[in-house]
Amino acid sequence: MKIVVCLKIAPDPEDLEIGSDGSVSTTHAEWTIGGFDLPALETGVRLAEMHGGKVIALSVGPPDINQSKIRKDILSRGAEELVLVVDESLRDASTAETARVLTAAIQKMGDVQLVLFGEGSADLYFQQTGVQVGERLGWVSLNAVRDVRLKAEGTLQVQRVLEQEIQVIEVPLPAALSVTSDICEPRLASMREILRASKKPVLEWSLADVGIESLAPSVEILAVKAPPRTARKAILLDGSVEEAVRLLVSHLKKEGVL
Amino acid sequence: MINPQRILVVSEDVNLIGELIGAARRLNSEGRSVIAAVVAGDQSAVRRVASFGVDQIYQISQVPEGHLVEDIFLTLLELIHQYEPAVILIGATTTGRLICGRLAARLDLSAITDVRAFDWHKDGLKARHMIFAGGAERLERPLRMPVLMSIARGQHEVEVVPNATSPEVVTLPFITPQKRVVLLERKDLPPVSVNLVDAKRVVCLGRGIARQEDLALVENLAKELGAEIACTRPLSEGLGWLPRERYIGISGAHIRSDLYIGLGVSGQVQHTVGITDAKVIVAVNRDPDAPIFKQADYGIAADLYQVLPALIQAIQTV
Repeated sequence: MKIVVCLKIAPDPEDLEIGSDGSVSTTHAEWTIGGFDLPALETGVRLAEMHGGKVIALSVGPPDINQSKIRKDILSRGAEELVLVVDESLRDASTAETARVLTAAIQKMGDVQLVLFGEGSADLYFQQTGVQVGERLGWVSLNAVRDVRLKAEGTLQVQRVLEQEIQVIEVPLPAALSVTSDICEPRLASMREILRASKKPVLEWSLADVGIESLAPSVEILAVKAPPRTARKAILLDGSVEEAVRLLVSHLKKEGVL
Repeated sequence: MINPQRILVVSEDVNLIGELIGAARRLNSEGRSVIAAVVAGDQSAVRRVASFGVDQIYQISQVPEGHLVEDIFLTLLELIHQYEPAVILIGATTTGRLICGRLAARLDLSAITDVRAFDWHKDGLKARHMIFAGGAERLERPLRMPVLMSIARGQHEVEVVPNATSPEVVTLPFITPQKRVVLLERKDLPPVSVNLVDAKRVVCLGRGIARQEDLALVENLAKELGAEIACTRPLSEGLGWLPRERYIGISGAHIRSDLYIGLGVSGQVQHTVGITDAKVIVAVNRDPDAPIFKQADYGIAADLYQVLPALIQAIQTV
């Protein structure tokens, strides 16, 4: 089974710099694989290990996504090949553009049976791209998938978790599934896998390579700002533990919250 | 366009339809729009939606056996082509997200999901969506029509209009998608027993808690305070010590309690975005440089295993 796992590579939200005027900068942020996407990669690798096949990792974005550390990170987690579609116009791409490019790349690969996504990207978290790609490919697409099993050749049985129910669903392949972040625990790469990673193929495609001439934006980004924060007192209570606790309780009584 | 001509609201959840109609009314401040709701359900669902004071109802009375309710998207797509709404509001549930994505793909546009605020300006609609795990908000203007947005539960009031004029009800035939999955079985999840959103006091655990057995200590404090126990995401999704509905953060609960006490919580933005509306924030963490202290009203930089018993005792003597 040929499995593609789509990963979002983006600035780490932990590294966000917030200015006193509420401005937000990612200039010094490290680019990483989205945390929600690693369980999708692990799911794909486990399926390939169990039933045979190969996992191709796929990511699209601006030139920043093609970094040796990130390539190694992805390829040491069990993907056999990495495909990156790189173009500056993908820097602030919204879900329609991202889904269009991913779809074109998957079609170019050919013979793909399953495409996996995380529950959302770590930076934008629209939770839309996976569903859109499935629909654009003309395949079935599902979100919130918590368990994936191969039942028979060409059929999966999955569990899907909604707010108030669990569904057991038969999915004909090819299909695109967005998995929950608790579907499985992503592996830590072994030293052997890390060494092997540098020998695995990495392909960088341009938009033209996947047959896209230009990418018109579907959304205009007007502003990015830090959300308004409540001002806090930030009083650190010193002294022994008993003293600090005594002070705390007296403050809380004054605040009227005890 | 100053005012949208037609607004279509869609949800599998009748109460959420009520909230979406509330949102649609906000977009229709000039009163010139027609608001229509799509109801996948029977006559009682239609009557309930009619009580919200909507202009038109499109009813899909039955989703065939073995289909997912999300399979109505093709029926919806046909309706969108005929009805040409300027704005489509979808309830941001798991089902809503799937419908939204399928529609967005077919219409070649980007849906703005989990919209927190929106306004209609003379150059179009502007909407806010949280990015970077709650670290930032992005203001966006969709450039294609129709505007497709999803709105989460609890953001708009359900308004029951007394003596609402009967809306026009149109029955839509269900259109079966060519490619589809088969629903084999469904099981109800146990009802959620926790309501963090309405809790007056919340005691929250972070990675500073060393062992699952230590939860008992925290339960004592929570009992003394009459507080609900909450946690950060790693404790529920990584370690599984607490159920998912107890975790606070970007994709978890957003609390509004009078008091929040974080025990061993470091204060990463993914978590703290969920506590910004708490009235008083207390943080206990061994690391004096933990980011939580900057976002707390009162902090104690000490081992929570020493602070906990002292705090329980101090509260008992209040």
